[in-house]
Amino acid sequence: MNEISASEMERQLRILMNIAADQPPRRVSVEAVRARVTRRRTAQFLAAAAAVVLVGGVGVALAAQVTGPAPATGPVQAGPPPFYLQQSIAAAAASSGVVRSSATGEVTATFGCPWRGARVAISAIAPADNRTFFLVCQKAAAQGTTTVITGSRIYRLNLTRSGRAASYALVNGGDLPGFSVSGIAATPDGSELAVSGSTAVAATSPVEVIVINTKTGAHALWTGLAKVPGKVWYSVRGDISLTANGRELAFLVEPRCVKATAAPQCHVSGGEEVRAVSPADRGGQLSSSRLLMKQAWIMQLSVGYINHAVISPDGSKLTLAVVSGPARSQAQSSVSVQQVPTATGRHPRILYRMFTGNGFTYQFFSSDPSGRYLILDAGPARGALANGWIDQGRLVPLAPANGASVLYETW
Amino acid sequence: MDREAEGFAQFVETRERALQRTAWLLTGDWALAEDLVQTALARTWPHWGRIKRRDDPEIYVRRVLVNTWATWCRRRWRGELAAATVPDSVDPADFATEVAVRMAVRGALGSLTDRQRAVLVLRVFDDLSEAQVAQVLGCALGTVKSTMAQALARLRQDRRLTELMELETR
Repeated sequence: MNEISASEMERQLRILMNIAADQPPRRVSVEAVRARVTRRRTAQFLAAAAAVVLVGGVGVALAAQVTGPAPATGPVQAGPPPFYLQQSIAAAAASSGVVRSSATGEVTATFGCPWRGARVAISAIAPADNRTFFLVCQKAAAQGTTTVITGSRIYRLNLTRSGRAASYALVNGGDLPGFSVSGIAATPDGSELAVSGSTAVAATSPVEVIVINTKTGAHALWTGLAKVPGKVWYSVRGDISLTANGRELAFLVEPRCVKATAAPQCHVSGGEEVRAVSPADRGGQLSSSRLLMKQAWIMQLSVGYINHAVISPDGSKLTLAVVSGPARSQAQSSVSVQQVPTATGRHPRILYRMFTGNGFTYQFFSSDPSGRYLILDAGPARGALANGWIDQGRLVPLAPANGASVLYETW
Repeated sequence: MDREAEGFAQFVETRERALQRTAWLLTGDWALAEDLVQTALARTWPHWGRIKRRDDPEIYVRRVLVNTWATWCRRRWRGELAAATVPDSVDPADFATEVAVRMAVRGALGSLTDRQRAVLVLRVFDDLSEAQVAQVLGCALGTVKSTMAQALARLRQDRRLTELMELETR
């Protein structure tokens, strides 16, 4: 036994403790806690009243000032993040997801919505550090023949070193009634969040992005343009990202010309755009954003699309997930991950390319907080999809390797 | 239900099992563990409005839990006396191996001092960092490290536990 190291002994102890402290036989209910608080308060009141009678009106009150701990920040990883969050088709039906070990694929925790009747929004998960994630829960209601999102709440999920759920709490300022979230981004320290989406009620200047200070709960609103005939209009797609200092907010848009017979015609060129606003926590009009790159700067518009764009933590690069059909130079469709400098928006560096034959299937792309470890799920139009992370031009499969059954993965 | 009460109810719903497991490792008894968690939550609830504004309310709850347990340990009379025979009926799903592990772990934890047990459970089972354990217990980081080393050294001498670990490594 002496040859076992302290860390190995801790590991074995953790396993044994987990077996020993199996599921509790009974649940602690909120009602029981409330009843106890009521009893405590009654007892305290009676004791205080008795003390007043006995001592002659002298009461003593003690108030404890407890200072809370600073949020834990994990060490810098010298390799892929140890855990990833997965939303699969099967788990989505149960409105839950799982945390898996990146090395083995073992499920270390499950997550759902603490908000009764709400569901975890697909793809709306933002990693802060490798053990802290922000998840969006949404409630929906039927309106006629359609279903509308009536509100969203953002929760912070902290994982332990072994990937279990350490805590799960509503974020300060994370209650967004009437807002339907489509995308979320977080700074690595979790102090700032940005969510893109739309309000249930139509407005002339609709709120498209909300930047949340999680310390104070303050919101900064970024509003979009109203659709005016004859003018260029664009709205933010789900893809938003923040730099590490929270200053730059980058987003992918597709400009469109709002056509009208009586209005002067406008013209749009260059395809999709990645734009940024700064400082992100100021709020304002998204029309004041600056252009970082255009689709036409890196590819022919007729052959493909930018499906996802993420700004690097230092703001120097954009990482793009690009899909393209057969072009003259290539007989095959492809899905690729490319990087361009934000300074120029041109001359992409291809980090990974998957040739998919005739057509392609693109599921999702995600990045870890460092921007170094990228997950991609894609494949041919018909056939097996690969889910894995990009390492030196290769796609290293994530365990379990079953890209078709996965809706979203991030770390 | 107001928002504060709803937030507390959500917290209890999602975390009570994890808290109970920690409490069992501290007390070695499910009934006491349930009582400990209820007491900790009852002490926390009146201050929930203030606590929930923290980044990690669970650390605060765990702190109350461990402190409450430490207070119980300091009492000479704890209200209940341990009996050699337990009145609980046998759980049909409880297998022999699990029972053996449970008894070995409970026995090993029982051989530690209260502080050693708290450090070990928070550090190993709850996966808190040494700094977080220090925050929960209100002691220095160095104390956590030395207490942890002492606890591991003592557990290495526990024959039943070491046998189980050897089985685990095979």
